[in-house]
Amino acid sequence: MVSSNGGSSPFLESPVHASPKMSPQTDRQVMSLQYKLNTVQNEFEIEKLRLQQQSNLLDKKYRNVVEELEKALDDTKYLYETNGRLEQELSDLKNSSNQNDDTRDEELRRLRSELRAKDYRIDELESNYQSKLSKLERKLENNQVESQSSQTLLKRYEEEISKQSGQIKMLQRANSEKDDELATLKASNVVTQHHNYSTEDLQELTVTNKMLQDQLQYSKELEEANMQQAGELKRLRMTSESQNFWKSENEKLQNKVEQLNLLEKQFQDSQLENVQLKSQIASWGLYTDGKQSPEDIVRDWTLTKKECIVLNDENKKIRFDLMNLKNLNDELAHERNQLLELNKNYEANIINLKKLNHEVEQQKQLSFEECRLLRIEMEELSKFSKDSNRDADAGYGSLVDSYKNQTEDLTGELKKLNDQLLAREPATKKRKASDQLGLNYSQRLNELQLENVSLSRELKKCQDTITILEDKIKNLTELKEKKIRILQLRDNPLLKDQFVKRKQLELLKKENADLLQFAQANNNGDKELESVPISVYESINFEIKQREEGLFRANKKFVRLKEVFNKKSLEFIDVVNSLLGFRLEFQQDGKVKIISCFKPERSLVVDLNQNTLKSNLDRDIEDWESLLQLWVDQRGQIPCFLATITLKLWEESA
Amino acid sequence: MSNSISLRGSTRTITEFFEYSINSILYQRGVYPQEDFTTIRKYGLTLLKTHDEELKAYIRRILAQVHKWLVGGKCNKLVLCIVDKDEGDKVEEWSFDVVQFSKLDQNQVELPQEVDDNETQNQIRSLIRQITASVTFLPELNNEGNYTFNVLAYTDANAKVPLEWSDSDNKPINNGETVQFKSFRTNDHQVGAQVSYRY
Repeated sequence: MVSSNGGSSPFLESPVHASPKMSPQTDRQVMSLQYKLNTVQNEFEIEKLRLQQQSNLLDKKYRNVVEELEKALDDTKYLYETNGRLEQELSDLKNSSNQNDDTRDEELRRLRSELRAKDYRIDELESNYQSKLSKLERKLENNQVESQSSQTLLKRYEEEISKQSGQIKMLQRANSEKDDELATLKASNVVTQHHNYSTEDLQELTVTNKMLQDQLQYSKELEEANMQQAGELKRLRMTSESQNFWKSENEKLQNKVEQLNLLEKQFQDSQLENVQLKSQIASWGLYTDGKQSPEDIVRDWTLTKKECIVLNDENKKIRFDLMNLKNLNDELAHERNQLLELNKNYEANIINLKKLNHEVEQQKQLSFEECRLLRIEMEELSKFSKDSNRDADAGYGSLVDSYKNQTEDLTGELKKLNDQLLAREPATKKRKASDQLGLNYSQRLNELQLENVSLSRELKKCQDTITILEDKIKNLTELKEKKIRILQLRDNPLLKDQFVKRKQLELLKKENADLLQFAQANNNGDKELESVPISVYESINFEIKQREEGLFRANKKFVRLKEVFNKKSLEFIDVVNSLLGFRLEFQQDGKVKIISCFKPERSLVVDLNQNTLKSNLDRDIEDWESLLQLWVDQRGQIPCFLATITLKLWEESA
Repeated sequence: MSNSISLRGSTRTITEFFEYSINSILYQRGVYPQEDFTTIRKYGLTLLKTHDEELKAYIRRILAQVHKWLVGGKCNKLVLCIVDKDEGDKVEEWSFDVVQFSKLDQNQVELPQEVDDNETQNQIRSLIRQITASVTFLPELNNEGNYTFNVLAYTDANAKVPLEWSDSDNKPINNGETVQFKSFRTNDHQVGAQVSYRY
């Protein structure tokens, strides 16, 4: 619309110069121009209003969209932050739960192992004590048995001693009796031989008597000493027994003391262990908040477990929520993308509208210019029609003034609008930047989510492949586990045949290759050699061997067939012999020897070449010649002739 | 001790049955020529047995080892494959499944009652009759003499394998049909038979 000289109006290109006189044509032109001006003005106003309305509408929409976008962005940010925080909390909870579980498990394991060790030690100690107790009991039993045996021994000794003392008493009594006898004998001897003895003899007797008395005294002393010694011996024995008893008692006591020492040591160890356990329980109490019983710990543990399960459930729920939020986030991102797209469209529309506005501004400028020119024209025209059209002039003037005012107002409004748009531009730019950031973020988020989805798909695929492979491995191992072997003899006919064929094929291939090479060499050298490659020889050799084997097989077959034939022939001959009474022997020169079963030493020889019949049976059969004449010559019935001979021979043999 | 004797007797019966079955199949299916076989009376039937020394020795070697495996309870199947020499394809597969009662789980499977020798002989007779009669429905093997055979023994993995034996495989016949025969039973074993052939 913009022309080279700055305007599109036809008035600019060909302004109408005022004619000195106002013609009706000029009036019409003015009228049409006025009409055009009015229409342009109206169109301008309508267009302006429409644009303004559109602009307002767009602006409103744009604001709404921007607000929505901001809200969505805030929501997304909030959701992302919440998500991150929740994930962090979840991981912290997991870590703490795992740590707690680990420490508890470890502690529990340790305590269990300690408990087991203690139980083991208690068992060991119990067994030791029991063994010791049994040892002591055994010893006690032994000692009791020993004491009983020693008591019996003592009784026996006492009995022996009493017996011996009785014997001693008896001996003493006998001794005293003997002494009395001796005294009486001495007295009687003194009385009887008193006169015979001299004083010397008497003195000797008294001396001997004294000596005897001394000896008696001595013997008595000895007896007393003996008694004393026996008493002493008895006492000593008693003391020795008591000593032994005390010794054994001492040993027992010493053993008991040793046991007590050991027990004391064990007691001390147990005390130490007890103290350690107490300290451990005390240290454990730190974790158990003063609850000392294992039931409390177990209860706590079960509670913690339940809590853990609840937390896991919550975690699952949170994960589910997270998934939902992710989905929501995806949807929001999608909406956001759509909104951004819309925003772009709106911005493009705004730019277009700005362009339109600019064009409208230019139009306005042109209109002003036209108005100015029209005014000039009008002024020129007014000079010509001052008198006649004074009233109309005033009307035009007011019209022009109002038009001017309106255009000025519109210009002002446009300016304002432009200013507002210009003032808004940095904000939009800023928003653009933030939008760009949000867009980048959402795009990145979308990309990451898509990547995540594709990775999870790949993971699923890999897992599926792994499961398939595992199944295959399982099947294969099951197959292996079936452990069935299929076995064949190494030199079976099939493998032999295949081996022969393979060898033949290899030889033929080699022969072919060698022959080709040979042929090429001959072609190149233009010299024919009367030789063949060795592979040809080998191949032929192998073929010959195969043929030989085939021949061998054929021979074998032939021999077998011959055997079968002979067997069958023999069967046939036997049948003929048994049925017809003749054995047939086919001789080489075309003769057949017929031997009767009733006369094996005789035979008929039929020469098939010379057509003769000879026999040595004519001696045994009287009318041989007549029979031959009748049956062979006259009737020509050899079978009947043979049958008659058979009958004759049977009659003879019978 | 009596069980061992019974087992050995049962195994001998089975090995003998294998020998006559293999001979009959080789004759009936024309793997070896007719003149290589002679007739003998066995199980109350007239059966054919090879008198080719090489073949006899081969079958004897197989059955001696199979007998050992059966006594040890290590063999559970014997398969006779008839193979086309030119194509190298298996055209028929005669398989004999052997079930040893002592290896079965007595809690899950009810063991059969004892069977006397006459009953076993009757069962074997009817089975061999079936094998002989199967020629009527089996497809004709053209090019007589163009077939060979192989015997495969299915054993447990822990069976003792002599050096003259090697591992093999047995693929099923493509588009094959299978006909199940009767079975016979001893006090220690049950032997089933079936033939698969290319349809």
